[in-house]
Amino acid sequence: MRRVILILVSMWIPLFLSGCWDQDLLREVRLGYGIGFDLTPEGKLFATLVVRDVPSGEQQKPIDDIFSATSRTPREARDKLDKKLSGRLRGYKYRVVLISEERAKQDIYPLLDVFYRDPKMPLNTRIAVVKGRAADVLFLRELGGTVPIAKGIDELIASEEELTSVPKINVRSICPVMLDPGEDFVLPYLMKKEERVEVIGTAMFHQHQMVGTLSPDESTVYLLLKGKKAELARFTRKVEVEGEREGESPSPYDFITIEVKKAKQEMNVLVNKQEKIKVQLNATWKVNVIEYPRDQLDEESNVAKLNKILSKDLTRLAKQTIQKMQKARCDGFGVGRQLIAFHPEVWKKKEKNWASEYQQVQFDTKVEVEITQKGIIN
Amino acid sequence: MIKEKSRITQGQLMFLILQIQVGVGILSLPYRVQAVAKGGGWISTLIAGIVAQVLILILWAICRRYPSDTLFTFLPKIAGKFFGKLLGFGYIFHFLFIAGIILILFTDIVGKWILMDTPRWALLLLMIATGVYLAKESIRVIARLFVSVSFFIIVMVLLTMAGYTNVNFTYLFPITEAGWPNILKGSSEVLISLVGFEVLLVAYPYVEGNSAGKLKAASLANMLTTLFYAFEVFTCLIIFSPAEFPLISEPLMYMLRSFSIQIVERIDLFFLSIWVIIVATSFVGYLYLASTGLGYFFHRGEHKKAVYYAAFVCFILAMIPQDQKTVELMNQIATISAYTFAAGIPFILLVIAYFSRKRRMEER
Repeated sequence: MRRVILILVSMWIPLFLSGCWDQDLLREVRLGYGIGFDLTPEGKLFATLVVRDVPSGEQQKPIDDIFSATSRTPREARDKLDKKLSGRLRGYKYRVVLISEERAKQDIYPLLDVFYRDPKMPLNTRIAVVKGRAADVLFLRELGGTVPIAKGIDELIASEEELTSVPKINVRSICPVMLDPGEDFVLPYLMKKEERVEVIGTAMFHQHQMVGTLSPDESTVYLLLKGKKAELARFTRKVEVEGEREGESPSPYDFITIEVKKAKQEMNVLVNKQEKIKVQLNATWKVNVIEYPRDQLDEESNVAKLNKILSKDLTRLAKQTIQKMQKARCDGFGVGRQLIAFHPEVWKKKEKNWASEYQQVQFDTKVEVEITQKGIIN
Repeated sequence: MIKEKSRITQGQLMFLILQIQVGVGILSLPYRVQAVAKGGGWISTLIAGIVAQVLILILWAICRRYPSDTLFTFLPKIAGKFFGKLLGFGYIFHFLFIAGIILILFTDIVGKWILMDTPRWALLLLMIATGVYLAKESIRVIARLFVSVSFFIIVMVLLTMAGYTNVNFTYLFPITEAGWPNILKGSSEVLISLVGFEVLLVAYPYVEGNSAGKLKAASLANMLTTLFYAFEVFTCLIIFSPAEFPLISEPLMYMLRSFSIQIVERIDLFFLSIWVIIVATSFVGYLYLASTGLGYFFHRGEHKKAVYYAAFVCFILAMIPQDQKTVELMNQIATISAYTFAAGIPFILLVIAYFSRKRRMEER
């Protein structure tokens, strides 16, 4: 009998124990979905917050509530924003962090510190740089008239990731690279165009600061050379096969669209006796032709010719991309990292002014393109 | 003699040791090792495993001489009545202290990661209530439970594998960046997380079978723990860049924070819940060891009666530290205590036992 009573009593105890101190009811809080950081003319931080409002009715779609505040630090901004909000602001659900180009050219680590420090903040939030003002993008409110802005941008970046035109990264995954002296990263680069948002390439970073941009094609080449191919990687390139018409505007017949099926790459960092650094970067891409109106791909010689032209063209593009990165001091390939790991003595000497040393690294780049598939017609 | 009902098999012994070894330290282990040994941290872990193996050999060599005695009954036989009792109390304090440290680190981490506003005593009560409930049972019941929750270690390994989606192996190199002396020093950081094999001193007579089998079980447990630790350290080393490591004191949790799978958005919280079980088993282990000692001295071998006040002592111990400094200090004391009672004293005992037997043989 005693035991039965004990069991009955103890069954009720958990009811009184459930999160007495740490409970955080969803109906009492407001969830931030996206946040944008701009720079005011006075050099202060201008933060724009997107808060998801879920109306109580079942049929109604959620609306994003968007507003801004000026402050000195991100956390202060959040507290100021919280004051404008009924219910307490919670950050568990941030989907995107947008940083304006102007702000990104300063140290971005302070903007992210709160993400790293607060255990309740999400770390799989996507992060991107915006050309112009981040607030302008967020104040679009909706993408394509239906999708709430924060979700829309998140999905937009996600779909670009699939196309290998921006890296697959989040707030967390840039952290090790950002803090590592031997490697740099790139972020998606967005822009508001009319009433839409477009991904216009990637923004290169050096240490904690943005230093330049890459076009979409350059970004794809960079990611492929780095071995970060996602689902798809496509290029449309001009191939002037014989009989080209001088002076005429290019016709669709002069172009080919290829899809990289398999990308193999090898990077060797060599240091010679004079401690000059040379990087060999060789890539072999097996590609699938997905658009080529000139046809005639059943002839070996045509394919061989195309292979040659494409190899040359993409090698040039790769070289151009790397030059651009070197000029901007963005060590996206982690040459410094290779030195730290495999040539520590050399690194110790070069560590101090690695940025300028990196610009003098000689890259030996070669891309080999091989057409292996051509769809169902020749 | 040990009653038939409280005997355990060699397999159960293995899980008993494994579960007591794997404990509260696992979350911060990679951080502590990396701070000293850099990219060679995983080597430190393996070295520590070998050292622990040697210590297990020593403990086993003592126990083998007294196959039907536990620690508290054979101590007087080796060291004399007075010193034997003194050492026995020493061991009880050691066990209580380690149990207290486990509680402190447990509340620290849970308070930091999920239950920020929950007062310390509430967390402690939850853990201690569970601990008492189990520790008052016989070693067989405890061992059985440990066997069944060992499944969670596999889950932990699987969850850690989520980290392999984004790794950089060059973070490991140069492996000997810190130099071999530091790699060895790093292994002392690991060794403290490997303690728990002292349970052999008490559990030995309860185990069925011959002494070689018991050694095998203990060694296997130690090997599994070491490999598990080495895997976790290795994973963290290739995920966090060397410059990032000093910022993150619980790398394992931190790593999981950034992943989400379809159903579970925050894997780290999932991981922490499993980790709580792992911590509870270590705590129960030490609580059981301490109360066995107290039971031997005060309750004619009935450890059940001692569990309650032993747990209370742990509670008090865990309520003492109010700031990080005190925690650090207590942690250092625990380290010294672990080295003394898991390594130093057994070694001396073994030497004494060896010579006293030799003398006896000569006298004959």
